[in-house]
Amino acid sequence: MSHLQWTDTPSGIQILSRQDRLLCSPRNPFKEAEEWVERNKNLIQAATHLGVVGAGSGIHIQVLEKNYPNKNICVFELDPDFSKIEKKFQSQLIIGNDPALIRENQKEFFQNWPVIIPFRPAFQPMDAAYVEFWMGLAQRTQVTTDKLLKGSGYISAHEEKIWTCLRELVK
Amino acid sequence: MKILVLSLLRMGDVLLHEAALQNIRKDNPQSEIQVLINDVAQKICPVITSVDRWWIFPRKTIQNQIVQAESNPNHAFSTLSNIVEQLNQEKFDVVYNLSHTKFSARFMDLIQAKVKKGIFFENGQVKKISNSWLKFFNDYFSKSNNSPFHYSFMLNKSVDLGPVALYRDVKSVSDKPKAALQVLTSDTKKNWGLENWRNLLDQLKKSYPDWQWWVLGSPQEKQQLQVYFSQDELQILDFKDLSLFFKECAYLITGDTSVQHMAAREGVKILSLFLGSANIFKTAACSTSNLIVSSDESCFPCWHADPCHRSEHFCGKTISPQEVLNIFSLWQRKEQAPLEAWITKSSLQFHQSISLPWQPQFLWQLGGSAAMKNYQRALSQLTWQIYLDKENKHEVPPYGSAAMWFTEENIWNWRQNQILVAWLNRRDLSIDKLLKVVSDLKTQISQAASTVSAADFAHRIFAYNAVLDIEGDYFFRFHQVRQETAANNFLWFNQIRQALIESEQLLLTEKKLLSKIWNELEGKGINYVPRITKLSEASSIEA
Repeated sequence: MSHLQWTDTPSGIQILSRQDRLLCSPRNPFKEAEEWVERNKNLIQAATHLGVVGAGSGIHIQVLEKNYPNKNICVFELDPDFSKIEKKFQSQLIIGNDPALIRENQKEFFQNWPVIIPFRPAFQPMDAAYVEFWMGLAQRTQVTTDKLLKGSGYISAHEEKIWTCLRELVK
Repeated sequence: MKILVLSLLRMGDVLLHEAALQNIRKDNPQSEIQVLINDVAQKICPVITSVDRWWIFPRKTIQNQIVQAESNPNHAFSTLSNIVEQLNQEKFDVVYNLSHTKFSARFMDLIQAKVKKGIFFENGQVKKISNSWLKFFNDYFSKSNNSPFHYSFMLNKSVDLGPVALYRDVKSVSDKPKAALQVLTSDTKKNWGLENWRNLLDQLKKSYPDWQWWVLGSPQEKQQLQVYFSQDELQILDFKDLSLFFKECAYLITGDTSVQHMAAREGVKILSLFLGSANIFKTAACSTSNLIVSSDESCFPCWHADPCHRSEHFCGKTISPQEVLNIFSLWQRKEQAPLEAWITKSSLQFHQSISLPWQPQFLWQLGGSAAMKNYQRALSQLTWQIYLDKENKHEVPPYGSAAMWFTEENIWNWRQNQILVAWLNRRDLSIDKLLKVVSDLKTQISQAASTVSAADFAHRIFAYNAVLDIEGDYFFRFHQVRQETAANNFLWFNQIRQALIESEQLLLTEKKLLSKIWNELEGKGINYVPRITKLSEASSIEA
């Protein structure tokens, strides 16, 4: 049985909850979605491919699709129960818990260097797991961090030189 | 031949690099010159014409790819790798690093070329600096707020290029000239305040009603400027249009910003307000008609990277719009004597560009009390130049020509200038005293090196600080080492010994130069009277 439940809000919009935690604003989910898109405007405009972590109630995806119809959007979800419920948006939904495997299976999408934007309300109540999932998709892993910040884990002298340059750029 | 130039700094710096680009073109007329600049500086491209191809380095994009949690840092890796690959496909013969930053030095390690100039890493290790000017630039320029030389001059020398010649003849001024105010800079510390500029503009319009007065701004600044200035007062221009605007502009009043360098290129007369971290000696516009006003506050100039540490922006507060109007009026009317008289009463500092035989641009501090400071700076500059050129090329230093330059009649009017002659006398005595101090210190170091810790020794030589602090220039390396915490006693003593040897060499160079100067002066009938601090009847004794 799915842990995800549809709930009616006073405004008549249906939103999802997980273990009694709402996955978006009950008062005005569309306004919340618009504000989320606006906050991430610079990132969205700069990229051709967008990954969104957290399907939530899907309203934020609908707003994103409406505002940016030409972007290639892919939604990533950690919770397997999303396979049992109706998808409320047009973009592709990828469900899985292994970022490396997802990256491998969605090579064509990831080779375009998408920005991976989280929708944090949709992480409830598994915030830590979703954040780790998000970081994995964006390859902000220990390996990359070590290369960038600690100067270790290189496989060649050339690679070391490039990462060292990058480190100087953000010092 | 293919040449790559790394100019990975801000817009104003890229403009200052134009002198180097012109020198590279002059030395290599048939070569293809390609320049790599940051994305934020790309608006400069249409303005600088000595470049065959521009490469834009997406610095902001790469930085975002690294720091934004939503981006993949491997994207930054890929972006940088692609740029490097594209550049290496060009197979450059020579690469010049004009940027002199750690990033650019690391970047040089990625570029393949037969010859590399400027600072660079090689296989992850910093390449030993063989050019003495480059070493000086590296050790001194970025760590000290003083500088004997202008940034452009030092940079050219540090990459084995000829002297800077970025001068235009200042254009003649019509009866109803066009004049402009550049009211914003890139750094809030360097800003004078839009209220002050508003006040100044009102007064300028009253005093010069026939002139066309404009307030300059970029499209990004328009909204901010519209709060204080009306639409018909504003000229919102991008860089290419700014260059065209300045061709017809006679005067500019500005803060320390890239716009002043644009104006200098077009022969505009410039009155600059240097505030905050703006450094007169390092980054004044290379212009023959340039007056710089700055504060006398002890904290000026501050470090670029640090915020203002005081409760108010005192360096800007001490300059009033009325004062700027007065200065401008006297300066543009070329009333030198009233300007000097006014300056003597003012609490501000004023510098004007003059051309010296050994320096295309020397910043002369106005005001009678600054005379000796100017002479010392000029002499120090010439001394450093001889010393660094000698270290660089191992040639016989041109003491004779240097002395001839220094004693050219039209520079300081030797025959009338008793202050200068008396000062030269005293300088001789000072040099001897300093040489004795250096000798004492070297002896103490030899005795203390094996028995005393670096920290204890630094305390012990405290008594000499009063003497040496005055001589900041020649002893800068000594002061640097003295203030550093010693990781290793032996290394510290060795470094301080080397620093003193350098100071001694500089003092001896100046001493030799002084003796040649006196030879020249005697030839002109101006006598040197040893060990006497004023000229007595020397000139009447002469047959």
